[in-house]
Amino acid sequence: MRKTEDYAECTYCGKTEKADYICVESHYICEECRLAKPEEIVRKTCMSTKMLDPLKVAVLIMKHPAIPIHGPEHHYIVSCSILASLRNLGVFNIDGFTFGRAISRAKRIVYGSCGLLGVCGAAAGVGIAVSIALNANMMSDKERSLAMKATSEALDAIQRLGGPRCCKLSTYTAIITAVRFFKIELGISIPMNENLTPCWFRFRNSECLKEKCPYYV
Amino acid sequence: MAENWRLINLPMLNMKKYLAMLEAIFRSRRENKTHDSLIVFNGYRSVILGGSSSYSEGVNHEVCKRTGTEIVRAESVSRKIIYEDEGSLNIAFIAHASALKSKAERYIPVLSEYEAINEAILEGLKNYNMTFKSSPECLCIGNSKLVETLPYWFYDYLMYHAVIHLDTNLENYKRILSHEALKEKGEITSLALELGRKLRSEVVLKEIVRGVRKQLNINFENSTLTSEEKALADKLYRVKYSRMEWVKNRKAPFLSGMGKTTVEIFVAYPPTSKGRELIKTVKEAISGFDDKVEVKVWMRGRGLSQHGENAEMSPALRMAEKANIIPAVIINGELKFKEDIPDVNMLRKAIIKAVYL
Repeated sequence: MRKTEDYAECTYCGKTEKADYICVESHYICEECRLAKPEEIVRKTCMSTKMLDPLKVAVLIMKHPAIPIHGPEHHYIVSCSILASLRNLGVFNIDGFTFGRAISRAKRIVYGSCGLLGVCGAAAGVGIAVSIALNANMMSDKERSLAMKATSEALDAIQRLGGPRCCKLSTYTAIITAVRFFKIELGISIPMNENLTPCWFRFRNSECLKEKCPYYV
Repeated sequence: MAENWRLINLPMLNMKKYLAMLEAIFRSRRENKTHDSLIVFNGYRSVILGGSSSYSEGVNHEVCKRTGTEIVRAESVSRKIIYEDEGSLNIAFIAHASALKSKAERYIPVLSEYEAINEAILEGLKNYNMTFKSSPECLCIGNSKLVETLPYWFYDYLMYHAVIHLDTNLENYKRILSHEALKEKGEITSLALELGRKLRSEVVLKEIVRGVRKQLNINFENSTLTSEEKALADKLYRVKYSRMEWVKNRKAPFLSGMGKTTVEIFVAYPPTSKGRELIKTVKEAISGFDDKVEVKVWMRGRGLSQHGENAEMSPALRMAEKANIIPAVIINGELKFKEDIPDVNMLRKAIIKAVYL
């Protein structure tokens, strides 16, 4: 981190302003984003991003200081990152309110639901993204089935990894599963080229799965 | 080579003062100001609430009043409630885990340290020719507890307070604990009851010290509390152990390692203009008594490691981080100012109040 007086664009919301600190790679976070709550930073980032790779969006959000190593924030990070990517690809009609809807749905999934309910919130986040993209509800036919299938595929991929839980690993896995799902079930190719290895968060996570995790080293 | 430990025999005091002294010695050890210690002191008629055990539900208050039993609360990771009196003997191990874990054949964190201490106590008791059962929580004869323990950890530092029932009044014990607490505890016994004769505590203590020395391969040097430990013990007694707020609700000021008033500033990372202004205001507010106050700036999302090894964050700061209360000023573990920059005089007043608590 170094001090500056130059103008810089906020990496999260895209606003350009006179900067105070920028990182060694010239990234800047505006004051408003530095103070933002987790859901605000997720919404702002997803509204402004031009990125097509949902993993890149998710990793950027997870690097924000408001996002803890583990927690229910990851549930909506998954859905919003996927929806942001779909919007940027121009395949679905996704506007600013969409992210609010995704967040409000994902917030109903409690902390620790993976162990307590048998449903990882990150997996449910994939279902939320599919449900919103396809406009599904409990009365829908195929759309409802697809939303549930998306959740179950993500859930299956996450359960294979074992525990204890790592919300970063679940987020990566859920998004990778979602990308495959959109390709197979809906014929939509979502680009994905973020290099997750080694995991950026491995030293901050005291319960890191280390060698058990495919992204550890 | 055998390590040197301090052997501290505390004078006759009351249990609240004993506990304040134990914490002072523990804090001094974790700050690396002293080396490992074995502290011994006489039993005192009291009921010790461990960790978060319930003041209202764990104890029969009426009997406590009638028998003159003091209710106290100890720092402990265990929720045990222990009764002791003049017939009991207290020993406390305050050590870095490295002094204990090397004794384990197959090291299991936490349990191996407890095992090493229990083995040392058992070595001291072996001449009584009894069959003891050792578990991480206690030492038993049959299924009855003879030695009860209250362990407490700070990173790799352990304070292990053991109450040995030499001739504890077991009838009182049963009456003083609530029905539920007693049911949870199971059977209690005393060495006098098991042997059918009274024992002199000095003799047992001597044996235990011998056992600890042999089993842990250490040397003891007779010692007392350092002046810094004494001052800290006085402060801890005054602001924590003697207060009902601690005994009833486990609430105490969050002090620095050696007992200074703590001012924690919670700001964004990197700090915003407001955060920088807040840091400046706090520095201005503490001028004149900087030596009594420890200021720590915590940046959101940077974790405990931003303040190096063995850093400690108050529970209030954790709450502020969870609830996104930023920026914030927390004094002695209490959220005092949030979101806006306080007036420097108001802030100074709040800090002075905490310093002269």
